[in-house]
Amino acid sequence: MTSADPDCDTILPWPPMEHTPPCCVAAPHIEVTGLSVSYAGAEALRGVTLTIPRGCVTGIVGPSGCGKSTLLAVLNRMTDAIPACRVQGSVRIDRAEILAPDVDLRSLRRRVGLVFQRPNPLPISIADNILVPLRDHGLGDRRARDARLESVLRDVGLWEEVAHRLRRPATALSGGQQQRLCIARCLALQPEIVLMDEPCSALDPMAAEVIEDLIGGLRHRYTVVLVTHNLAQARRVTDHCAVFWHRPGAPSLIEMGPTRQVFEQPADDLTRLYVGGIRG
Amino acid sequence: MPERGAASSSVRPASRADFVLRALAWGGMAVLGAGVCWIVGDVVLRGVRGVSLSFLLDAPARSGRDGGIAPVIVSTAIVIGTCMIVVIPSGVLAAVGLSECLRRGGRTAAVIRLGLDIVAGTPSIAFGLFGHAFFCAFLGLRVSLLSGGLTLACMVLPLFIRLCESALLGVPAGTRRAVDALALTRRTALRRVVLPIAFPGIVSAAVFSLARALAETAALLFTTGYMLRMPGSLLDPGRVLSVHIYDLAMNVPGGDPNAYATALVLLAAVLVIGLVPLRVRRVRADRLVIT
Repeated sequence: MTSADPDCDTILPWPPMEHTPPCCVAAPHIEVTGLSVSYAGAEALRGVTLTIPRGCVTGIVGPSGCGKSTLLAVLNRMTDAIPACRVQGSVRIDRAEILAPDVDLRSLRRRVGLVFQRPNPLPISIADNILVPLRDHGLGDRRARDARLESVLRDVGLWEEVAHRLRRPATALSGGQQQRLCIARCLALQPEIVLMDEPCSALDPMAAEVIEDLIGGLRHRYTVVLVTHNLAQARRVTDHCAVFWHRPGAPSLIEMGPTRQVFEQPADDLTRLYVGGIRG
Repeated sequence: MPERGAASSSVRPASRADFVLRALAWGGMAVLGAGVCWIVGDVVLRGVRGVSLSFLLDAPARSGRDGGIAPVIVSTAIVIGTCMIVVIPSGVLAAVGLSECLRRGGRTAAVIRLGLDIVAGTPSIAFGLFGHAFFCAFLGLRVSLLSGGLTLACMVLPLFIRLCESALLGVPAGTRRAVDALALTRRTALRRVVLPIAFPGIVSAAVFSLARALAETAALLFTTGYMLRMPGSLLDPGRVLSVHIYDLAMNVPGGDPNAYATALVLLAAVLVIGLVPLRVRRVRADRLVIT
């Protein structure tokens, strides 16, 4: 679904999924300019400039250690927690700079949710995994929170499976269910942007397929940034794709564009070799 | 995994070095086990005749040669209780500060840890002198159960903080990152995530510290004294189990049988308290399944 329809961004934020037109638009949501990141002097990303369109699923692909996860960590400032991590450049969400020191991290991370590679539900009950963050952020009264619990669990297709055991520990769920719960937990805070760091790679193929369908369903309601190792997956679920590579010296962006174009008519030779399975 | 064990012992021929290493390990364990058995066996064999219900409930007579140890048990409970009431809340808070609030791997935390380790390694007699000078004399609490409890608290606190800290650091990295990504407030993170995960470890830390306090003699000689009477208040002097054993064995001719009986009571108390963490882990595990 790479066709562009300029009407899409007027419908955001978050209409019910089925009422959204099947498109994603080229209106920028996240603009990264000249982004360089280093960990204790070692360059993890150099001079990245890219634009992530609103309401689309944007894939970040490339071999291991080429800065994919680092880019994701910058987008909600998880890099702040890493000692000796230096971030330079500009990242703007809806034209507001998020790398400025006075940015409120709490509201930023509520707007920009993150789903990890390994499912990491909190070791409390299934319901509390959703309700505790809602309560912590002061969202809604008790009733509204309970309603939200049901709606996000339905969104990730978990409601039918867990409705009768909401008070059971989340850690007793299967890996795939845990990951869906983590996605629901992220969606519960009503983010605009959902970052996903290889959300399927720790799961078995069946569970991965469920998550993949789910990611497709998030399109139009959320801006999704999906880091993946799996080129076939990137091709299936993303609208746009950014290819990262170890350029001599430091990892950087080598190509970005609509997914079909990146896979079928890549502009860069490395991209052609990579998506053709010849390198990487 | 029985297959794996079988494979490593039957398929792979044990080398000479392997054999020597194994023999040394088993030998070390045997020596240690024999030592422990000897001590425990000695105390049990010589003490068991003296222990009875009346021994636990009666007042001592003839400087402890006859009668029971009721006031000693009461004094011990008061001293240990005072100690733990001070140690648990302040120690948990200090450990939270150390592991959650200070920058990880930072210099401040490293200096504090080093300080705690040095204090934890200080001989208890030094704590006794400090307690006598500070609590008994300077604060005017005299030689009393309260002074003893507070002195013990100072002695046990560094150990308790370090054990609690390692329990708190046991929170999985993935869980911590989830907490970060959800931007939970520190209060929610502690109350709903970190402390519940660390709870069994904190209980273990408390029990370990309690056992350490229960075994302490030197620090209490100077601070609670060795008055063999039923204490009337926190500010009365008293005699704890370990001091009673010491006094009977060293200063009272013919006190050995009751010294052994008292030692058996102390040993049993440590054993029973040591079982608490196992119990707690089990209760927690049950709750995790039920709720």
